[in-house]
Amino acid sequence: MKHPLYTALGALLCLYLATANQRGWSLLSQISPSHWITSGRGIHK
Amino acid sequence: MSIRTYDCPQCGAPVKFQSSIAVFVVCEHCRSMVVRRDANVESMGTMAELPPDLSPLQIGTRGEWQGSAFELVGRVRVEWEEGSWTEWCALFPNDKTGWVAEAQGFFMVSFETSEPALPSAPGELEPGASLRVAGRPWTVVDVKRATCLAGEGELPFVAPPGQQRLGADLTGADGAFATIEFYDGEAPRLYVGSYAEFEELRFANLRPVPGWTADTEQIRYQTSALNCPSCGAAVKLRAAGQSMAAVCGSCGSIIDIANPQWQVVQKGDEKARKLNGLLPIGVRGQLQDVDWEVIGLVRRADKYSSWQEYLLFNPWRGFRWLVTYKGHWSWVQRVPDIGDLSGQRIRLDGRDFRLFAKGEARVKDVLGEFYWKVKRGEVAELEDYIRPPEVLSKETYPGLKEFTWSLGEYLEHTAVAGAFGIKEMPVPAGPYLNEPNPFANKTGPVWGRALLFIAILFVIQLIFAAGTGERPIFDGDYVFTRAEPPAVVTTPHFQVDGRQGPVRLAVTAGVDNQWIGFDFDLVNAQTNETFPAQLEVSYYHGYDDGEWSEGGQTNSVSVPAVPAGEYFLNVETDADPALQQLTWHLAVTRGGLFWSNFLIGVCVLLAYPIYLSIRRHGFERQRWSESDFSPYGSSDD
Repeated sequence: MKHPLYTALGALLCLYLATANQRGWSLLSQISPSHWITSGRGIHK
Repeated sequence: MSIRTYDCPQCGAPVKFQSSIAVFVVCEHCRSMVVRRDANVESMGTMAELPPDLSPLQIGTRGEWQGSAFELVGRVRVEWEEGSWTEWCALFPNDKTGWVAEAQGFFMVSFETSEPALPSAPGELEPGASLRVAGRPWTVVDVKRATCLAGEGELPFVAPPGQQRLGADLTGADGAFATIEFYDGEAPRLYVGSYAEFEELRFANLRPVPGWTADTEQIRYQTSALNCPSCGAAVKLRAAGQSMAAVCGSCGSIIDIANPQWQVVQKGDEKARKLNGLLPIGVRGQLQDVDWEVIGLVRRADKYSSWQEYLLFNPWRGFRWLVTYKGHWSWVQRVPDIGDLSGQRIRLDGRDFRLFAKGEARVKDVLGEFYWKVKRGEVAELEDYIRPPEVLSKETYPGLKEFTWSLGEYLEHTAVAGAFGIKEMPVPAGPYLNEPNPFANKTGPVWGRALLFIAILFVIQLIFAAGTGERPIFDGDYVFTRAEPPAVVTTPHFQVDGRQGPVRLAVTAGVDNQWIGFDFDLVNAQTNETFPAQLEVSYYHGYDDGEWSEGGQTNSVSVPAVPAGEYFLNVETDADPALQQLTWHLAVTRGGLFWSNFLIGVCVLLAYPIYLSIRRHGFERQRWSESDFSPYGSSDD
């Protein structure tokens, strides 16, 4: 198989998306500070 | 085959005419030229000695051409201004005579063909001209005067040494080859055939080649060593009979070796003796399963740079070149059957080549021997067309009525080092004109795989989107009143059902050029597990070079991975200092999907192919920065 690492990455992403949708996970909330994703508060202060 | 035997008029030895149409035989005992006239034979003098050569063919060699067997019965060695070649007379069944021309490792098989519409004079033919003979179109490749040097065996015409003719070589489609020969006082003759590979001709009864065939190895260096006419040093030839010029390793003089009477054509100087290549002259190496011997080295230069070209020889395969520049190597061979093509793009066998370089190249230094009469200072007009890893080069020599094409293929420097046992091989520097783009082969397949996975991700997302609609589970109206410390609102308990998933909190507030912010704690009433979330509702608008607005009076936030259970919300509110009191509405829904998961997946998948595309493009830009014909614009940009 050509590009096995990239293929493995694609397969993992498919698996992760299915699992995240199943469990109601948010990848964004896991990789980012919660205030950064959920609120823009302070912008207009 | 009707063999007639006569007595040689000179020595009395038997002289055989194997073909009924043979009229000329060189007596193999006394080299008398015996001519058959009616029932008698007569001698017309003695044939000159054939110069030594390393051709694997000999009188009596058998072969096959397009299913028809033949035997070589005679040959003439022909010389022209810049070189020489051998015409082998081949006897086919039913006394049919054909010709196998052997020149610089190329073989051309042709047959005399009657053609009433031949040009009457060679002056009508110029290289590049088109004409139609033998029912098909042709392009004139070169026109040259040739002289018979010597011959042996039998021939269908008289060919004494010194006999001259003008010949025009033509090339047609699919490797077709033709020659029109003009003899003084005779009608022109047309020979039509095609180029052939050594293996195609299925030769048998080949001559053992000194220095190459195993049982003649011991006499390798005894074949051709003569003395330099300038300094007297011995000059060994490694491609005797094929080489036209040799450089004296002692004084650097270039010697014309086409004739047995060697002549200095260019004196050597101190600089000429200093040329020192990575591959020594005489070293042998195996490339593409064939043994090659380095027999010559030429350094050429254009107005920008200089490079080295090694000439390699194998008696059965002819000549090849190894061209090297800044650690890059190309494996090059002449392509005989291309017409006078030029332009920004040219097409060869369905492959498009793009013009990369055009200009004069000058021979700076030479070492070893060559199949043409090389000279220092010799200038050729050079055009390079690329289709990495291939490069197609056209050389035109001023004053010569011909152009030559060669096709090169990029060769890894490690392959050259391995073939010739070079321990310290320079590493290639920078992209080279025909160096394969290291990202080109990856980019397309990786893009294909990326699009496939994006499609799969999209399908997964659609499947879940269809099965997880949002359902309202709670809503209520609340009032923000400025207080210190801020008041915390606690909602009534509500039921979150179904499997673990998101809970979305949506707030609608009548802000007007104001903001209001919420800190939510979604608390499981049984376990006290808390899910925090923050949200701001802000809406600004006004006139500033026109009407503008920003934000809105509704906003929402999704809380991920909330298990089923009984929950309530603790809400702490903060707001714009100008805001003292405001009613806001809270709506809580269960279900839905995070599309950010899908978008992050797409971004991760696209990162690698985008990186490859950028690197591929960068490599090409760097490659073409060396060209005057860059598709990316001027190299001075």
